[in-house]
Amino acid sequence: MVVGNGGSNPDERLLFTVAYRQHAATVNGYLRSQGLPDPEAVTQDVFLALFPRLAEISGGSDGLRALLFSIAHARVVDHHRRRSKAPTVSEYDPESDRRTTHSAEDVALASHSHVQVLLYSLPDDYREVLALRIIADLSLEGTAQIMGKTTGAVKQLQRRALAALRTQLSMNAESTS
Amino acid sequence: MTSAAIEDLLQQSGSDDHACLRALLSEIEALGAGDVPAPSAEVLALMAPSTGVTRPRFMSRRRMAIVITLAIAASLGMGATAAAAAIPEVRHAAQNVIQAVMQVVAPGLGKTTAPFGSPSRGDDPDPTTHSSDSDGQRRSVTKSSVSPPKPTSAPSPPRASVVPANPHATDAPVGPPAQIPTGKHSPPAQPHAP
Repeated sequence: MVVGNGGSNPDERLLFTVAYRQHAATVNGYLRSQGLPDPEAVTQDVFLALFPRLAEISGGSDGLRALLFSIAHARVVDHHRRRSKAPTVSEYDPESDRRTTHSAEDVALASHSHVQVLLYSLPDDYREVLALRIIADLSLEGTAQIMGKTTGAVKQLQRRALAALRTQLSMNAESTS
Repeated sequence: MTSAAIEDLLQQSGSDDHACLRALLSEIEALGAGDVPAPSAEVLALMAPSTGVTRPRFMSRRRMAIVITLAIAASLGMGATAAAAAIPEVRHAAQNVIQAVMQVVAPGLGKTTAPFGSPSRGDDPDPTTHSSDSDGQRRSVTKSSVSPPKPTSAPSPPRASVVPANPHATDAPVGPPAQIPTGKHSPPAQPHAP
């Protein structure tokens, strides 16, 4: 299916509206799983970037989802690249320093669910492949295309990611017991 | 309960120990099942109007229900009317009721107006039909619907049926009640036309 031919005709606006209603929550969840600081704002950016590219969509709803998450993936890659180059610096506020009982890492992680904490403990590639396969519900081929890898490499990556998750689970079970 | 994506992933990973992972993968999947974030002003500006997606369907269903209800009521009413019209007493009583109502609602209209369903005077170009309609003021309504028009009666001019029916038509050029019964042959409409 090839949708529209550019511009902002009513069909494209309708398609954009339906795409937002169907996929905004999933995109937001994918971005949250990747540890972005403001996933809702990036979700808006992803859809703003989607609108002028609606004419590129081919392959129906699967094509729409693939394009949407390729844009979202690019935002995640940008975020990780920025973070690695220039780590965020925040001013020291003694009133907000609660390290008398917990470390700063503990305080930061307390605002996330244990699933998010587990995901953040994984390498970026592992976290990415799990999110694209499970949250975005993309196929092996679609995930490989977005990540710029072969399907064999993605298969291997997801196998390692599951093994790492299992290790983390067993470590958590040992620490609680 | 795990989704097909999780089952697919677990099968492709080739691991046997799936039990401990299924619950965790379901929780990861649930991250994408939250509420739809509110669109920003920029995103909202690109969206289709909200009336084009959900409300018209809701309204059209309501309208459809109303139309269906009215259609059923009308069909039942027409069936009852058809059955009652076969009885002469009922028919005459109904005509009297209609005439009484018409005299109350529009006093000038009830004397010369044809019954429902017959063509209006203004639309009928044949003057002979006007003569038969205006034969006997009130009787003309009942006679025209029951008996055929008299071929030998003296034909009266077509406007003769209009002018006595609404004597205010020549005096009141702008009043809406004076223009409704006269139709497009209304005499006062012509002098005031630009």
